[in-house]
Amino acid sequence: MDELHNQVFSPGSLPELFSSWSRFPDAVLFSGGTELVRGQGGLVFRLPRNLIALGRIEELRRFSRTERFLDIGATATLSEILALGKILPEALRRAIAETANPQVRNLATIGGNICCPSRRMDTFAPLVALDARLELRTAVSSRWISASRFAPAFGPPLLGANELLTRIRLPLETWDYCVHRRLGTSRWPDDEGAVFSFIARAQKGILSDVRMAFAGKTLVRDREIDNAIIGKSLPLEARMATAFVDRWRTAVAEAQFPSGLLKDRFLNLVEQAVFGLCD
Amino acid sequence: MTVGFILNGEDVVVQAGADRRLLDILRDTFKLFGSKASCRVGRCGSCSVILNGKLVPSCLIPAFSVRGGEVITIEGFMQTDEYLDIAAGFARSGVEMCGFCESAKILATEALLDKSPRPTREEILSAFDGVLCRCTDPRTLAEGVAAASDARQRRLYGRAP
Repeated sequence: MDELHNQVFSPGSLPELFSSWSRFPDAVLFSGGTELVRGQGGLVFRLPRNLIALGRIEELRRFSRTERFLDIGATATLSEILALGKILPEALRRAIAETANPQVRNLATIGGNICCPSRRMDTFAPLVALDARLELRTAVSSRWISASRFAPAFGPPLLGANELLTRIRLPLETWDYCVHRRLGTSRWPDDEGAVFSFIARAQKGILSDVRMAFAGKTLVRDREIDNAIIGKSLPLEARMATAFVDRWRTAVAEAQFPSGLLKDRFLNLVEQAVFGLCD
Repeated sequence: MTVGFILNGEDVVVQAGADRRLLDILRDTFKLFGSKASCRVGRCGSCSVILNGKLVPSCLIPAFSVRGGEVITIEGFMQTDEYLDIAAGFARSGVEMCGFCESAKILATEALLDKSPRPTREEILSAFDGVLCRCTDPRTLAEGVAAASDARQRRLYGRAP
């Protein structure tokens, strides 16, 4: 134990981690640490009393790939994921490439990005749009949950007590159309920031799948509205695009957004993305 | 807490609170002043060091997470042949840097050439995204990195590209 105040555990495996965590349930997990120390410009960091460092757990940083899925360990850094190159879906690749700077991407992990309690970080919108699934484990159980169900519209992600995000499973599908926009004043997370992801694919000139997600302080997604333009032929008729935007306008009219400006910007992005299918 | 790690090729041990920054340990304990303390929130890049082969802002690294790792600062890197490639390339292209960002730009160049020996202009410019200093013209910097890459190819393979 540190003579000053912090106590840091460095388990080498998941059983060791859960054992430490059961003894110190208040311990905070530390991987890249970029969120935990964000904005702390003082002489020393203000760290939680008990920390569990995940860096030594190899299992949490593995990648594996099958024909249909890419599995990413939760402590894989954003740089390591970016280095996967072309197998990475474009929406996610662009979101990661626009996150912070190369040095910070060498530290920040995808698990930390997903589990950030204060807001949805940059990778969340593309993960929701891509229908990624997340593996959550405790000492005695494991479950898979879709990224969209992992986070409510507002508030922290739905992690149970002593539950750990261990893996992210990305479906490896081809998307023909991708619109990605990052809103905010800089490359660093702020309350006004959000990420917009719109992906679509077509078969024989017919829209076969459309997915849209918007994530920042709030998470916006509605599969029913997405489904409204599936099956339409391309280029999309302008009246259908207008109807799509109007449905979104109605859907978010009462929704809680951090600001009216952000809501307007969201609707503008929906309009730009869907009218892009009319060209 | 006792933190042991490899610093510029030598095993070192330091007594430090878990909440201390690697940057401060390097500057205060080891008197390595090449990594500059500026924004201290990971944005400016002037404190960059190479930790376990990756370029990272040392101001965001708590002491405990360096344990068992390998840190290379500009002082250690200057003893290597790789540094000489970069110095030669920068000199040939007339790259001039201020004292604040110099170490970060050199280490960012090394991190880039390590990953991509013949980087494109786009790769070069994005590699410097994390070093916020306007002292150097980006075009000259890109030429300097390309020249450093040439110098390295000549040293390693004995031929110009």
